Amino acid sequence: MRSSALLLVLTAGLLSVRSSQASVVLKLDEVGLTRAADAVVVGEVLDSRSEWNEVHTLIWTLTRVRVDDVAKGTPARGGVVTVREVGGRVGDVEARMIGAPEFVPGERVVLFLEHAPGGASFRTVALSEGKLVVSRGPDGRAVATSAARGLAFAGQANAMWDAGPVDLEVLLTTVRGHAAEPRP
Amino acid sequence: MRRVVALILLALAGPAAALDVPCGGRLLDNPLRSWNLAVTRPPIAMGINSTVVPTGGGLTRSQIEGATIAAVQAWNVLRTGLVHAAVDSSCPRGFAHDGKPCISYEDPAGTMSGGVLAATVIWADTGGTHGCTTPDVGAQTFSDIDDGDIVFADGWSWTLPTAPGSDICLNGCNKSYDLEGVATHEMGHVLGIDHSANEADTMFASFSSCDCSKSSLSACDIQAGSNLCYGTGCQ
Repeated sequence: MRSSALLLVLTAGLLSVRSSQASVVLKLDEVGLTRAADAVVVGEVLDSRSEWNEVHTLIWTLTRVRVDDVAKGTPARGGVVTVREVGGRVGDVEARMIGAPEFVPGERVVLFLEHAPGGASFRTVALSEGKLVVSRGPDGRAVATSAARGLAFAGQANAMWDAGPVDLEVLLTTVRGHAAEPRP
Repeated sequence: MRRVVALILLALAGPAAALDVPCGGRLLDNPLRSWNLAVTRPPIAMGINSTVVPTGGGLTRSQIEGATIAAVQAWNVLRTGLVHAAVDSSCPRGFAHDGKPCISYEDPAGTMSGGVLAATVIWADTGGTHGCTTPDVGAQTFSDIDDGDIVFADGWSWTLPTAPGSDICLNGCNKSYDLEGVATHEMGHVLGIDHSANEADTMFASFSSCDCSKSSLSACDIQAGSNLCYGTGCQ
């Protein structure tokens, strides 16, 4: 029944299929996220495209981010990193992952990234917990706000952004400090 | 003219928003989703592939299987025979839109990033819908869910309640999470329930280590689920 239903979607294009994912993730603070990340970057979202995985069972969305600053890891400043997350739409089939980060071209972001399997791209640590959005605060300074949503948290760590937007330079200085610490 | 106005209003309304139901619960949004029991005849069969099980916490395979079955079937409180869970090593591990709802452990495809304990993917056919008059929020239309998988990530330490219905974790719990409580929570998502605002609910968006109270559904969890067109009065 399921195979025939999927075939109908793909061939007739009359129906669309969505998926959603809700996840339980460990509550992480800036220390935990920095330690878990292979790279921490500030950048601008360029564009996104979605595609089926190789075995045609899941849809991925690949988002390109231009790197403006690097707080941890080896991405090149001025280069582009690709972030791969579960979810997206291909033709009439849509997979939406609740809890995963979503990206809008042109938005500035801070991303805590880990290498995705295969190594050619990254994914955010702990889904949308690893994404912050950069905007201008009341005094004109850049601030970062958590973009975590759709997640159930395990544990009770307190992150510096839990109470609201945090000054971007303060955040990056903090991350660089933790990135330089030896792993426990 | 009347027709044009109606179309404009629909366009402004956009996709369905999250639907809050009494008691602090809510239903999965944009669009609302639940299983169409006229298409997927109950019970919704969840296969448990326990060929690989977590070792952190020292639970036995039998304990993990039993707790997972109990977590799924706890939701039969919404309707007798709504769901059924059984050990099935042929159920594919991981996430796949293959029409076989499965629960597996240790994230075989490495799909989940660091920090994730467990995740659920459901697929809903937005071309297929069903509706009912719900007890709390009136007439609603739902997209048909036609598949759902739950995967536990690797590397975590798990515990269980000491007995069915107990809030006490097994002796020696040390920074472990209640596997049955997390499985019950994820199964709620498979059925179409979003998070709750009440800390005591299984569907609340937070878990504490060594808290084994979440495998028992609260009155609010059940009330949220009663709005998903599964009750005999709804279908």
